[in-house]
Amino acid sequence: MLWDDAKGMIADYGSRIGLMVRSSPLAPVAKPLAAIGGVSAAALATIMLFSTSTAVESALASAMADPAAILAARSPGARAPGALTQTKLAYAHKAPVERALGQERTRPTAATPAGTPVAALPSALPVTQQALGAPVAEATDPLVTSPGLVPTTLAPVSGVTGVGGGGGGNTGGGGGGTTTPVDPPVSAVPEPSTWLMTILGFFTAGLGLRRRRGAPLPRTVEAR
Amino acid sequence: MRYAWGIAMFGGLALAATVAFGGARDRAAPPPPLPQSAIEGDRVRFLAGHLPTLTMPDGATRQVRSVLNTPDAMHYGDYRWNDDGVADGPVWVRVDLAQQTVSVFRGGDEIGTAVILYGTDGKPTPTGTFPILEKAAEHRSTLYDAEMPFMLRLTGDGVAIHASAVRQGAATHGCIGVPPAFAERLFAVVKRGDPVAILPARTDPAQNRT
Repeated sequence: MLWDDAKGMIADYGSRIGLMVRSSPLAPVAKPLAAIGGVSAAALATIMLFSTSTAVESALASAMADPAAILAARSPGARAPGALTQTKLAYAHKAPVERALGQERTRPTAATPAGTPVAALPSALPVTQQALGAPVAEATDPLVTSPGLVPTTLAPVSGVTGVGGGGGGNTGGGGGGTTTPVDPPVSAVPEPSTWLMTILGFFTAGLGLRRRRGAPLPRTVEAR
Repeated sequence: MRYAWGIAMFGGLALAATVAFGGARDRAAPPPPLPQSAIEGDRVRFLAGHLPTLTMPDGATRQVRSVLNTPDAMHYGDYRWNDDGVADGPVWVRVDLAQQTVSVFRGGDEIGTAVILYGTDGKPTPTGTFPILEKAAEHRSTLYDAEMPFMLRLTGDGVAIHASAVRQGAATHGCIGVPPAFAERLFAVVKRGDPVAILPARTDPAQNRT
């Protein structure tokens, strides 16, 4: 039944092709030829399908009789060459890695003479007292009474003129009380704000140069 | 017009091929192969009298009565376990590094299989047949400072079968990693002295440290 339908369809298709070439004198010959061709092509396909399916069946049967083949069929495959990196490097009997900071920093020892900052205090105070007013004077008052705290709290007073008291100043320590304190100590790697300022400066310089150029020059870039 | 002639010519060729193929098929039809195995549930059972063998790394062979039927390839982390109706017998384990699988046999019947991890090229998994030296359900590696549950020690220098997160792209330091649930079941069925056969990852023996 199905086969008859298929034959009808193929013949129908052939006749349609015949319709298209009706004007040709060979059309009556071409129409049945095309139909026969379609039918035999279908037959070939059927037979090839059957022959391959028997081949697959026999191959399957022989594979199913071999346990090694069954075990191989379930494998996810051989490992890819990429999966060969070592893991857990920390346990690979490696020495711990040490990293040094960019610049050596020294802490002031306890043997720093306590008298010198106190002696230097009057010279530093007049400047800051006028700038910051009475609160600074109050803040520096305990310094005189307790000389042990002098090196740490002296730095914001003289080095930084900020009202906040200089958060970074107290850790650096006022090693040199008499000279102008260079604290916080300069790091080898500039801080982000420094980088930003540098970049901003270059940008501004470039902008200025571009503006100063005045009238635009004729462009020669595209002329090569 | 051209199309019609083209179809006609193709048809003629196809007709000739049909005749040729059909004739050849009639002449050279092979006898149907003897059924040597039968699928029973999730098990492929080999027929008595045609029992196949598996070759061990040392060249010895072991007869196989049945294996688990896993029609599709397993994925990383997959395992199958079924020991229903499998009689008691000597348990042996076959690890195939090239296929990245492990099979657990009791007697001649396979009772479990899983996808494994094995050692990197820098720290390869040794091949050969090893008896299980030690069992530990809870083990913490002193060498790598890592939990290795359901450890079955194979060599004196620390190679073992243990539970791992079996996933693609991972490897071990020489151990054989199996999925945790599988490791628990395996741990329950093996005893000290049971042999574990490890087949090489490559066919070239020079590449494998034994």
